[in-house]
Amino acid sequence: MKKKTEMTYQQARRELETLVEELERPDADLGQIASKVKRALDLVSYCRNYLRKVREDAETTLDAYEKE
Amino acid sequence: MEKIDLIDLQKRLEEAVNKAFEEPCWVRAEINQLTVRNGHCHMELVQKEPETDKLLAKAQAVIWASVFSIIDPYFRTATGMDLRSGLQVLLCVEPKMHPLYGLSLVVSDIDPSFTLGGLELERRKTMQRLEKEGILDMNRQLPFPLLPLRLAVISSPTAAGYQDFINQINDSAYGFSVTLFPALMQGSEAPSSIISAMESVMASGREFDLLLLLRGGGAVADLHCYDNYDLAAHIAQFPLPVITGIGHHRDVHIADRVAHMALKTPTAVAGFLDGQVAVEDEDLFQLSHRLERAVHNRISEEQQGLDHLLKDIRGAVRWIVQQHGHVMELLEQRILRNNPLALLQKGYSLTLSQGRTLVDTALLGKGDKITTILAKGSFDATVDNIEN
Repeated sequence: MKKKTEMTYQQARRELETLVEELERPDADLGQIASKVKRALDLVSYCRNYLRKVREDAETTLDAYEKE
Repeated sequence: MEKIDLIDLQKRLEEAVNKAFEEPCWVRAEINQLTVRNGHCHMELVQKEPETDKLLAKAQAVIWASVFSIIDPYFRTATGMDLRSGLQVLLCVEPKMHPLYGLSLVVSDIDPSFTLGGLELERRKTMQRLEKEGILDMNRQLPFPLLPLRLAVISSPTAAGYQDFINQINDSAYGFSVTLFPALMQGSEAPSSIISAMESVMASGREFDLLLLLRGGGAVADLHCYDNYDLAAHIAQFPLPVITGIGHHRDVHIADRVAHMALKTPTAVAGFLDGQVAVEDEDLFQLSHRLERAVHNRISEEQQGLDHLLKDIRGAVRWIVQQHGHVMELLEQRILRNNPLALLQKGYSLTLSQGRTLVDTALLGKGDKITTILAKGSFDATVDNIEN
């Protein structure tokens, strides 16, 4: 679990791209498709959340600074 | 040979003189000595050889009190000078021989323009000499101090003009320091007295910004001394800027011409100095004001720059997050597009042979085992017939 929370955006993004490329291959292993799709979509949500948090954090910091 | 008494001789001389000069005549001469007794003015007139100063002629002259009381103020008004020794004069005289007192020239009139002309000539010569020696503009070329606060003053301590100066300078809002070097400020002794006071200023070892020559105002006096060559040469070469306030309303003297600046009166000098310092004070105020404003402007410029940068940071964060968001969308679409399970849900099916997806019958043979996957579950089958 600890490892997962420490995953960086970069790592998530790289894994996501690899998964998509694998899914796009015509000889993709069907037995793993379902779990790969699930993992890929999980990564998309993770990255989206990460990006939202980055933006919110930055805006909060900037707002706090401007109020000073 | 005839023998006569002295009185007879003198009377004959008297007759001869009276006969020779029935009309008065105008005589050019230099006053060598002059004394006034009981209102009568007694003079010794001389003529000297121009180059050598050797005496060529000498005579006694008298201006009787009744005439002197008119001539004296007339001459002073016209020339600004007292009748005194050293002056070249043109006198209307009548030679009189008195048996007891001898020969005397009785003066009935004087032409001041002759004296003025002579002085003017002398003045021009002095100016030419100063110019030729290259010192005429020396004092004027000294830089004028920005803050003329430390003043060396040559004046007569009892003169009204000096008191006026002190009063006005004491009223000033600025801290002037005045050091007096007393001197005689008029008459023939003035040049040497002023020069020795100038030497005292230098010998004092104190630092001054300016030297002021101030003379008390009052009655019109003999200021011929301010055309003196030695005094002018000392002023011109003095190492501090010199300001004169000699308090005259007539023409400009050579001392004024060689000084850094000439003002009419000691009061005018005080006013000028106060004004000078006030201007500098105002300049400093303006400068500090400008400095303050410049710093303020610079800081607010920087502030605006920072504000822009903050906006840029915000924009940059938004932009980069947006870019990544687009990438996510594209990736998501690619995932969804390639999800074969979604196709199975729609009724399509997948057929595998030896674990690989079948896309071409060319790879199949009769009797081959194949597996077909549906949205829910799968089944195995054997190839019965092949159509290409």
